[in-house]
Amino acid sequence: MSAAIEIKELTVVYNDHSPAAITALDHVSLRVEKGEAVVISGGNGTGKTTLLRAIAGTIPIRSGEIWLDGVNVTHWSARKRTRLLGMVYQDTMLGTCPGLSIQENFQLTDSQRWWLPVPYQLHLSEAQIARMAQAGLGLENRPATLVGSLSGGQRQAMALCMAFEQQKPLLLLDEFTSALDEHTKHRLLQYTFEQAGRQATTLLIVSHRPEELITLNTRIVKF
Amino acid sequence: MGTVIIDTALQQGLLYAPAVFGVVISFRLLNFPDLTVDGSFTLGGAVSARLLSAGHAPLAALLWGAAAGALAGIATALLNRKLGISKILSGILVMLILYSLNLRVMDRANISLLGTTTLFSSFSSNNGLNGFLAIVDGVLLLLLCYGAITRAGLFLRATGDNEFMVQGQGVNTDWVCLAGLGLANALVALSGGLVAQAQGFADVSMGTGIIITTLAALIIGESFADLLQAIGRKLWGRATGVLPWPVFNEFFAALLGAFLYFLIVAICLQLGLAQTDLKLATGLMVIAGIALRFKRAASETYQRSKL
Repeated sequence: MSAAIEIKELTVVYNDHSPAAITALDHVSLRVEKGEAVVISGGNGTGKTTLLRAIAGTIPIRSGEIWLDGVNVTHWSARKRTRLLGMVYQDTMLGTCPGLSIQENFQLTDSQRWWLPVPYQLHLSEAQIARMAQAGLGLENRPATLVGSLSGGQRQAMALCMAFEQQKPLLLLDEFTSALDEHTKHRLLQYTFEQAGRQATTLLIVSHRPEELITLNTRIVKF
Repeated sequence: MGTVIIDTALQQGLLYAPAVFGVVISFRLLNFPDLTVDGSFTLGGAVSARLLSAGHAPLAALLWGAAAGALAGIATALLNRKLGISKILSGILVMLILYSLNLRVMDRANISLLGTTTLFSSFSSNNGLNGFLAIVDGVLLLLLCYGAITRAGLFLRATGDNEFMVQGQGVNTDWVCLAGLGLANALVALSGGLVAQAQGFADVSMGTGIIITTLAALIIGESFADLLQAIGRKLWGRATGVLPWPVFNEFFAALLGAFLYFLIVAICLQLGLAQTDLKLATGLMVIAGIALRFKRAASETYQRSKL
């Protein structure tokens, strides 16, 4: 059976071919099975986020191969790779549109035929409300609120909910609980693993604190 | 005298309103400071006038002008997206190129439409003409507001808001930008065509400073619409619901601002402002409008910080 992610001898060098070249990943290999949750841990500057970016295709690689779901995606553009994966960022500002309402942001997760001049769903569906309620943020009760007026933690949590809406086979989570308080973090981790279990999503998580995730049936890879 | 001033301002406002709608799309929704406008406005007028003088139907001439404007907008988007030229410079380059192209289109520096049948030839009175323009602008306003609640409109707004996020959803934002600037400049060119047909001539310099004129109109309109909103909130409470009210407000502000801008201009001219100082006055209006918003935002932050 093909693995969800297979990375073969991946090397990433920032500022390649210049005197300021920095090798972020040096012949790294990793295999993640379908439905597995793998936590990548390690100190600052060990290349954890670089690995996620390389998989998402947002940075160039020097050598190696990246296979997703049995397909060699090494030469795929970042946009094409979004068919197979979703990503939640450490930076709370990246994953949502601040000038749009919560409800409008959720409509963006359905990006098929975005160019159609037909009205979008003006209301959240019952299923969407139910899923948001599970995350326990209370955001489902105020769909017209501008996302820009939410806190960083709320925005991060929302980006996670939106990532699950797309039902991608693979989710890359980069320090996705960095802006959350302990209570919310705990609840959102539960939500993450519950949703991932239900959708059979493969999770690749970067975390400084893998101990928080040990109990949740994960495999930890040290970087 | 007063009625004449209001009448003139109303007509000018209605003629220029589509251009202000276009600027709302590029500057406000798509977050693209598009300076193509000066060129595409003239292009609309030039194409319209050339086709009219060649004996084509007025409506067809107007629509071909708008289509030419759309191409100009798409050209700017392509320079920015495919060749990596900055947003401002892309617009300036296309504007510059259009100056020569407009001369080619017209074959001379200006075309008089005297004796040619235009859209407005059949109107014997100003009221009839204004009524017709009001219907055109009203229909455009409704179409744009509808556009804001379509999937295409939502992704256009989202691209202006956080392009990175929209790309993450697998959307090719280059296409969004192309479509947005195309539509924006089609509206601007439509306005250019209307102006040429209404005033009875097209001139190669008719678009000079349109970007500032439309921005001035927009800023004035926004300030006034804010005021109306504040009064509305006092009377009826806050507009709630899931519709994108801020976007509707922008388009409404564009229409209102176009009229108010020309009203202010007409009053200034009446008070003795020299015609040649008009651009100076407009520039100062834009500076004052933006500065007032900036200061108000800063003082609100200060007030909040004291709490």
